[in-house]
Amino acid sequence: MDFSGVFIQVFTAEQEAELADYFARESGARPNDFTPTNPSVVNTVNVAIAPPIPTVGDLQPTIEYAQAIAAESVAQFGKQETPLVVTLLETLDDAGDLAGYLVRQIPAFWFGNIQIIMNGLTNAQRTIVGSLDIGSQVSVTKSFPGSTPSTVTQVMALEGISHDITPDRHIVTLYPNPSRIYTYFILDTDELDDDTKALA
Amino acid sequence: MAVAIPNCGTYTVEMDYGATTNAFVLDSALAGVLDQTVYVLEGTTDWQDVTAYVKQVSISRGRQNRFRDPTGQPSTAVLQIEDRDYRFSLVNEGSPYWNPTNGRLGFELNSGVRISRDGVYLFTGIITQYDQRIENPSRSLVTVSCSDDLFRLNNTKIASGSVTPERSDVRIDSVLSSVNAFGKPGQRVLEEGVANLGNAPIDASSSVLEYLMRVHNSEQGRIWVDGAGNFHFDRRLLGKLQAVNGYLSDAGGTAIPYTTFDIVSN
Repeated sequence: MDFSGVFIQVFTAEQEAELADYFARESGARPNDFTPTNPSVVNTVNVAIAPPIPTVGDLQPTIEYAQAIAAESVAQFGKQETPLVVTLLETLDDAGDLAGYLVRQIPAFWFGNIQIIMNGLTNAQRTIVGSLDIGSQVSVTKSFPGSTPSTVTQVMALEGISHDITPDRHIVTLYPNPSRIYTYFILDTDELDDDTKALA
Repeated sequence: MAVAIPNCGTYTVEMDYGATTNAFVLDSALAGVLDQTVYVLEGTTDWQDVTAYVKQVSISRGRQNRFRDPTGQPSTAVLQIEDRDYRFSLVNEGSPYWNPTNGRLGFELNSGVRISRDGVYLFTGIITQYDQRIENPSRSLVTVSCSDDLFRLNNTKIASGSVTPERSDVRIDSVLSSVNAFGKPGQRVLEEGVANLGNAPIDASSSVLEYLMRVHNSEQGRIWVDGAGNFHFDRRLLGKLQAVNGYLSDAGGTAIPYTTFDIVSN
């Protein structure tokens, strides 16, 4: 798997880690996955695989883990590192892939918490909104007069949706997030080398 | 009776009070006859349309920010009910929703709730909390809090056992089967996972949902339940071809207009 600008390495030395799956842990103390100190940038990710079950001869088995580092991001924002999280993954290669996937080199921004009042829509528009669900892809365009560019469009995937319904209105709030979804390339409309477009 | 909201659609809120329309009844001359097809063992839920009494519905599904919020959190729905004749009262034995078999109001913990708009379900789940507030002289307000069936998984202990290396979706499928969750045909929508899981044994100290979260920890996709109550597992976002399902814009035309949004700076 290709993660440009991310260096992945594997460690086998013992290191303080979160408990493996077969240790009891109350929900509140459960490691919050890979939440780092500042989640806008994550440039050092540590992913471990579950160690073998302790035996008489080896009461503290070594925890092996992979680490993904985005050096350029570290230089720019300082080290933003996740704790070492023990996953259920099978191999260190799998751990390396996941670590690379979780790296976020620069802060992101997107159009979120989009509020739609159903009363103001046409039937066709209401049908579309009613069919949207988690995982649906939406394109959101907003004009910003006097700004450059004057129009910004983002294509995103829905992570959440909420409805507030009273006897006289229905308000839908969409929670889109950046996606890695490609839309269909349209001949004579789209440009080549657009990495958001793909052929069917 | 379903209620039409002007320029929005027709909405229905239904609740299960423990009655069925065609349950098999032992020794009954009508419903207890063997080899007939009308009366079946569990029967069909006798859903009660309570829409006319509902003053407000709030539904929340999924998460707002995938970088900060965990996936797999149960969806929630909150119903505000104006109970003018105490038919929703916990003390009214004359309520049409009274369950004489149990000697309680039929709307209680784990009773079913479903909410739809124009026949499309926005939420399907169960009651998790039922609160009644009395305001003198005779006003009753009932707040019904609901969650989808992920809530049940959080209250179900997982059985310990050994596992073999397999993909994340295969592991999730077998875990759900082990507790008979989302077992109806088509109720599990599982994408082929990216994560290959090892053979770390399952420990019985956690709930089913906690274990699913551990699986998800290795996948980093999504776990959610749709409006109709179906379980979904989405794999890690590695990029896939998908059409745009909706165009939103402030430019008019056929695009869907919106009133507000935030520029989320993560």
